[in-house]
Amino acid sequence: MGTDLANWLFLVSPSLVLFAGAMFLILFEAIVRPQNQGSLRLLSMLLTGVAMLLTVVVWGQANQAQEIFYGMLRFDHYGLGFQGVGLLAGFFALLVSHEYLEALKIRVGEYYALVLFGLFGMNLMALANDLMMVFISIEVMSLSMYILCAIKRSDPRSVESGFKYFILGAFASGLLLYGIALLYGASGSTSLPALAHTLAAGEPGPLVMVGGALVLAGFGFKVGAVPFHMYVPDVYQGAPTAVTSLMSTGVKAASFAALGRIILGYMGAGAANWEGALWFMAAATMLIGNLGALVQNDLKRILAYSSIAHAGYMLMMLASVGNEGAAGREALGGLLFYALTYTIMSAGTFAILTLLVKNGSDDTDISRLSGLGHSNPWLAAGMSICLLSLAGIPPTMGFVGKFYLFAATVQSGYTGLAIVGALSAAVGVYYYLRPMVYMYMKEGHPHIHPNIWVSGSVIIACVLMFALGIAPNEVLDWAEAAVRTVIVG
Amino acid sequence: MPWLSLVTFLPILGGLLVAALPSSMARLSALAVSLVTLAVSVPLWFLYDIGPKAPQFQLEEKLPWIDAFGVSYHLGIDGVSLLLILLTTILTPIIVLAGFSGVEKGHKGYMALMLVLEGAMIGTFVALDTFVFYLFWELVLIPMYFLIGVWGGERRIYAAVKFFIYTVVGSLLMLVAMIALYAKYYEVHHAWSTDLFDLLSVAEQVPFGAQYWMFAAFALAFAIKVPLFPLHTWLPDAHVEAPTGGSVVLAGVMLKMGTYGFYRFAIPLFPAAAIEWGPVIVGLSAIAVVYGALVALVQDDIKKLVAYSSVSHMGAVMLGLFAFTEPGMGGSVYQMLNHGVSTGALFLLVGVLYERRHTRAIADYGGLSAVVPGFAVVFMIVTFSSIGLPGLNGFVGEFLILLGAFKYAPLPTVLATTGVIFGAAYMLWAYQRMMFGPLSNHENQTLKDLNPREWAYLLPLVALIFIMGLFPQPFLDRINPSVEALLGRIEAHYDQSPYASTGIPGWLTDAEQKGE
Repeated sequence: MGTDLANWLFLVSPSLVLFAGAMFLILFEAIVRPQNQGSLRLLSMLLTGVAMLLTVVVWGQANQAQEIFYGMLRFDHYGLGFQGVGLLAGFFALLVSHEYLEALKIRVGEYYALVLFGLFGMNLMALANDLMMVFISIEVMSLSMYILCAIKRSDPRSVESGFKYFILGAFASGLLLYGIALLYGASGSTSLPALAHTLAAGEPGPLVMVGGALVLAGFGFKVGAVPFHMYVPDVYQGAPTAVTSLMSTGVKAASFAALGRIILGYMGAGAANWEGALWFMAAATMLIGNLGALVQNDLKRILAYSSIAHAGYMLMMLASVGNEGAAGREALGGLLFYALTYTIMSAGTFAILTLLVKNGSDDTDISRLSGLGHSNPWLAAGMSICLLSLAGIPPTMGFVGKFYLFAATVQSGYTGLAIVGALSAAVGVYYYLRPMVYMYMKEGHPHIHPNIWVSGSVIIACVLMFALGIAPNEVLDWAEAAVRTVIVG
Repeated sequence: MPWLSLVTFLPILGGLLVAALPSSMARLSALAVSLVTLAVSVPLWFLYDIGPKAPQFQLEEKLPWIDAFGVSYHLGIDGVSLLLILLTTILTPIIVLAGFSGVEKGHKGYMALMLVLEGAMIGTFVALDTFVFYLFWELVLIPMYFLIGVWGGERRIYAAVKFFIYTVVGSLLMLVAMIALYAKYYEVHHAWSTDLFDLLSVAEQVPFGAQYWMFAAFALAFAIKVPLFPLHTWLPDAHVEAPTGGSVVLAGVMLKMGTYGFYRFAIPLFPAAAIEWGPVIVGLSAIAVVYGALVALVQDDIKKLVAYSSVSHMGAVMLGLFAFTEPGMGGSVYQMLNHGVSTGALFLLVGVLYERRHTRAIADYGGLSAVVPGFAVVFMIVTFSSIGLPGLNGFVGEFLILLGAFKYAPLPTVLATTGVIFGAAYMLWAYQRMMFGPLSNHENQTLKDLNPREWAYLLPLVALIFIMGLFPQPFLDRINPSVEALLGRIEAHYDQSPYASTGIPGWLTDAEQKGE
């Protein structure tokens, strides 16, 4: 027993580091002078880095998937993969936070502790194997995000963002919880494998159908899927950009990780047919996300809609998971790979947006970029690479990711969905080109001064995008290995 | 020696080098890179075996690349790709030299993008792996988008975005069709492969109904690029707004990527579906020939006139391609080269005038032959080449196309022939309005004739016009075996088409009898 516990603690050590670090930062922040908050950033980056390192260390332990903490968590490569993606998202967000917060005149030391708490929640979500655990980790993550959105108290838009996110998020949590309760009523257990087992036994009753629908709605909110996407543009725009970056990448990846596990439990058992619902959700999310972005003039809103669209691409994968056997696994591998891809390219873009601050508040109108191609050619090139990758143009990682998505979708027999995806991606190209039009084809004096942290994160993002666009072999193998251990029961 | 990789990546790396060097060296270094690329591509002509090996792909290179998707870095050429590569490598130094003037701001970026574009276009011609092909196909968009959008005219942003979106819509649907084919391969072999040869071996096992739509997806992507009526509307915008070099490369090479795509991928992969779609495409091609010519007839902007003439000429190329006869297809490939040379030259000439007078309105000119006799002579030769005067290159291609197509589709061919007549009309009429008549506009009186640099980049094209017109055989020797191989594949799959039972296309049964 004792050795079990010690081993379990070792396996979740990345999360423990984050939790302990967040606790420490709350105390430590009290003795740090506001002007020295750069040290908090370094400390939290260090902790995230250690957590990433530990994730790599425990990776080998997951060759044999195991349930730990009495079935609350499932320790496998799939969870660890998403955990790594979440940590990477956190790392990118932290990297650019300090200068951005200074520019916004936000000097709240709790910021860094909250980010770490959020990452802690994401880590647990990736591993959660029990609906209660799923719910608790979602709440840990979401509560941090609610506060982070509203962290600029003097700015009405930031407060609106936090408030909106909180009210709607709380509502979504309520739906999720209700759904969990119904599923518990149907099966007598909240454990995912037990649930899958019960569902496999017989025809799904109304409790299962309604409960499943409510769970899907709750997650639909978290990932910003149509028709639960209404809040996304407002919340993403109002929140501080670094927080938006984390929301669009880490939160999304973690939510998809948990949703993937739940759906796999359902579909693998063949108990309930969610494919139709997911099909329409994916198609609508891709289309509305891409169409909505066309008419926006604010870069953060454009990226918010783009993030809805990308949620749609990832939902396409979940719809394809229903296919049994190799194709279903292929789809989950695609989900993991795309989560990583989207994290890198989105974080790179948001890093540049953190520079668009004027007089202490965000000014992210697209015209701010006018003439950037001439005044800051390197920064403009970085932005263009991120945008082209988001648009899925080769030879960037975004193309490989999209290729993987479409391949898995077509292989699962959803050619129609892939065609919807392809067409909506073509629509998307228009708004990804627009910032480039402003940067290169319009005159202007952008007054944008990159700092070393932003440049660093853009360089990291661009190098990764090209390297993984041209030589993705290792990471693809890694993603495929990650989903090999996931199949429940 | 990996000749094909070399000729593909030399300009791309050269482009990056030009970008890294100081602006003052950009022009000369770009010229040097493009000339070295030309020098490297010339040996291909001699290395390519036109003997018994000719129908096969040659100079192949194959390396594993992305194992998870079964992608291999697979290059190789047949006679058609060989000639298109040479067209690209010959045109690029000419474009670079023409870009020494007329590109005012940021000429370094212009030169660098032009070289990257050259490499990407060659990449599409050498790729024998569909994934690699798609990669280059999309990569071409980025430099061209910037060339139009940054260095273009008044409505450059509109034109650049329109160009990009049009192409991407088609390409993404093609991507889905490609993936559907990969899935078929997986179903049969339980392994992924994106290699063209592998896909050719499984494509016939796809049910005909699916083939029909897969061909349609490929055809849409390629028809947009060609551009086939009614998908041509991006072209006049792009041409009018693009800088001279952009127009030359667009008309000279990029449009051929569309017809080449049909030749290399769409038709061989889905021959039965190609036969089924044939009448539609032939009909649209014939309309394109006439429509392009008629619209060109009423243009008052010389650049727009040349742009619509491209629509017309490319319609003829498509007509020949879908005639599925040896003269038709061979002529079609020949006409691809001709169009690259003569329309490229026309755009260069328009650029020469535009740099001097900053107007493209035909009405602003008149009587120029008196002040710029050298220009007038070159313009005349190129005009004659464009309208297909016997002895010049255009005649060979047009004649073969009409000859080959008449057997299959007499009515569209007759229609297209009238288009050729209109073609002569609009070109000669434009020539007459610009070069002859009274020199009424006094601004034209001080017009300077071609300078040595302009002679230097125009003369090679004039030489090609004569060589290809008088000695077509060396070119046809390289084209025909490859075309025959494709025709063989089409005939072998003829039974799969529902047409086979109706017995409509007499031309194909003829071909079969001939083969036996």
